[in-house]
Amino acid sequence: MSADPLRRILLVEDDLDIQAVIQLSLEMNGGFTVATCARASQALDLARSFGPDLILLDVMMPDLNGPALLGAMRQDPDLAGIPAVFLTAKSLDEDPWLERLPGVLARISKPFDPQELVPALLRIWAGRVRDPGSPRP
Amino acid sequence: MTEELTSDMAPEDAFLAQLDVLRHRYLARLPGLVARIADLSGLALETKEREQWREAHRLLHSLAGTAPTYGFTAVAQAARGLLALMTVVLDDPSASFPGPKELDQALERLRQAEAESEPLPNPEGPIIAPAP
Repeated sequence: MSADPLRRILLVEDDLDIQAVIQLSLEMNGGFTVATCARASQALDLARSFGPDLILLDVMMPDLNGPALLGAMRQDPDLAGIPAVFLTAKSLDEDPWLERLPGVLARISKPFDPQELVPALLRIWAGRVRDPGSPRP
Repeated sequence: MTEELTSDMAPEDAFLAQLDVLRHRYLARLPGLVARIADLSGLALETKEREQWREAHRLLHSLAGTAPTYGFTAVAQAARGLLALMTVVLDDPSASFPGPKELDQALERLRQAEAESEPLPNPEGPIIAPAP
């Protein structure tokens, strides 16, 4: 188990309404430093410059979906080790493989209670396990 | 809501007040979102154009995920009903588009849910006007 604190989160979410409520919750309830982008195509550059501890990633986006974006990040040595949490409106039955992608800690289902987002994320972060065979930190 | 107005609040109250601002803004945008979905899906049904159908589906998918996060569960429920109609066409290229009456009924349920949406009460927080 790692004791690295969670401080910086990159949020990739194309729906600006949901992006706003997530950012508000992360900043005000969690005290995190948050960078946001609405396009998967911007996320790689932003991830390199921002240096997040965690990427919070929407699954369905118009230009490139979340799993494909994550795959691109895993090819980049600078980004390959950053863990991710997916945001999805799909059920576990629809995408059972999502959490099995390398470096994915969990999924957070939409809709969610904005007040419960940070506690959920902190539980996920606290429960992650170092695994030398995976790109987790 | 501005940061000055929430700066003297307890953190949880400040968060709820800011959340209330976002909720009002979203509520103010809902009629436009629903109208856009209705326009796109109606047009797609006329032309049998799957790209317009796909765009309407994308907007609906967002609506179904975002509306309940802001507390508008009836809107999300109606959106999911319409989403189910649209998904069939996208998942199976050989599937027929729904009939106009079926689409109209689902759209009407969405319009009605949107029209009946009200801001959730926030008795502890200040009264906040929707953003222009």
